Amino acid sequence: MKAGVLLGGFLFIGAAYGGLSAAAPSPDAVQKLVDARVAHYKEIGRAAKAIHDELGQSQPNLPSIESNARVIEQRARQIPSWFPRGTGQQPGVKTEAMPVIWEQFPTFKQRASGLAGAAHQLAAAAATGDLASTKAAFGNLGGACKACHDTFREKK
Amino acid sequence: MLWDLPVRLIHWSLVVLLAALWWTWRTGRTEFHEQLGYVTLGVLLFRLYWGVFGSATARFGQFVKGPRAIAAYLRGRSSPQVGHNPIGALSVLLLLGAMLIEVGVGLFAQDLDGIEAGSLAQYVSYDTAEAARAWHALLFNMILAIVALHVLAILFYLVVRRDNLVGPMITGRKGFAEEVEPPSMAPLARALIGVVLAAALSWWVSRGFRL
Repeated sequence: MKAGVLLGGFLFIGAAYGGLSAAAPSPDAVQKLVDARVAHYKEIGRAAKAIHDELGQSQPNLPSIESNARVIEQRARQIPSWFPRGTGQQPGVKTEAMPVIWEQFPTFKQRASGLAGAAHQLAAAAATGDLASTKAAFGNLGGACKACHDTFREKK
Repeated sequence: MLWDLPVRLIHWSLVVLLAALWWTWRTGRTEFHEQLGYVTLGVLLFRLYWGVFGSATARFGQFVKGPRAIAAYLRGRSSPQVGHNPIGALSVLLLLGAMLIEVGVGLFAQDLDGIEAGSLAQYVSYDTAEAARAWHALLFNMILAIVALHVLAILFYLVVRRDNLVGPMITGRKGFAEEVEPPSMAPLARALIGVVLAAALSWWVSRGFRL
């Protein structure tokens, strides 16, 4: 009986603690999430650089551009899911994600889908084998990155 | 004639370029910033050429002095300085060296999105290009500090030593109280050769060493 009360007490405390930590995750937990999304963004950056470098070649490898564009498109579609509420700037967390992301989340989502769309266009252009339209599509992709960063990423 | 036309043009174009490079970066005009970077590289390369083949007051071999000459100058035990004094020589080396490194690092740097990048970034990894961007930003602040030191030194000479160094850098001429040997000036045709060489090399770099 006594043991049951004790166990119940522990369970209650544990549940309360769990509830609290769900309401306000520790800075460490938030930072882990931030680091994960930074790693994802770096994947996009790496793919963008690979495309940029390929376009600098005298004979760019268009299939390689296409596959890198698909990586960007796939990642770009996930972007809104990397930004749950409460993962912005706060004490103990280092992130360039500005509060305006959550104040204007529909716009933020729109910009992310703009990037996915630009990457999709780029992959399609590369698939046709036309270098001029591929280059133009890559320019649009850069514009899509910038359009979001200008508003939502802290300038350093 | 103390400073020939090439030296003065190099000096003031670097002043303008530094300001323009800062402005184009600050306002997100990355492509323009890159183009100006290649121009700056050309100017710096030409300065190196002129430091070997140029007029007497432009040659590194003439004005770069060792510690003994620097100490003698600081104690005021040296003949009137026609051209850079031994301390000014250090300032020249520091400024040119810092700008060369800054431009060199910039060639490997990429912007935040991996869309715009220096012409040589294609030869390094994403992480190296990222590191280059960080260094490029840090070095710029060091250049600002060196420029501030340079301007303070000019002010010191103007106010304390009653020696206006800015005028001669504009007109090229300077009067001396004592009789001094006028420095020998290199022919401008030789400068033209240097301009062509520096421009060609900088263009080649801007193409990522592709023709």
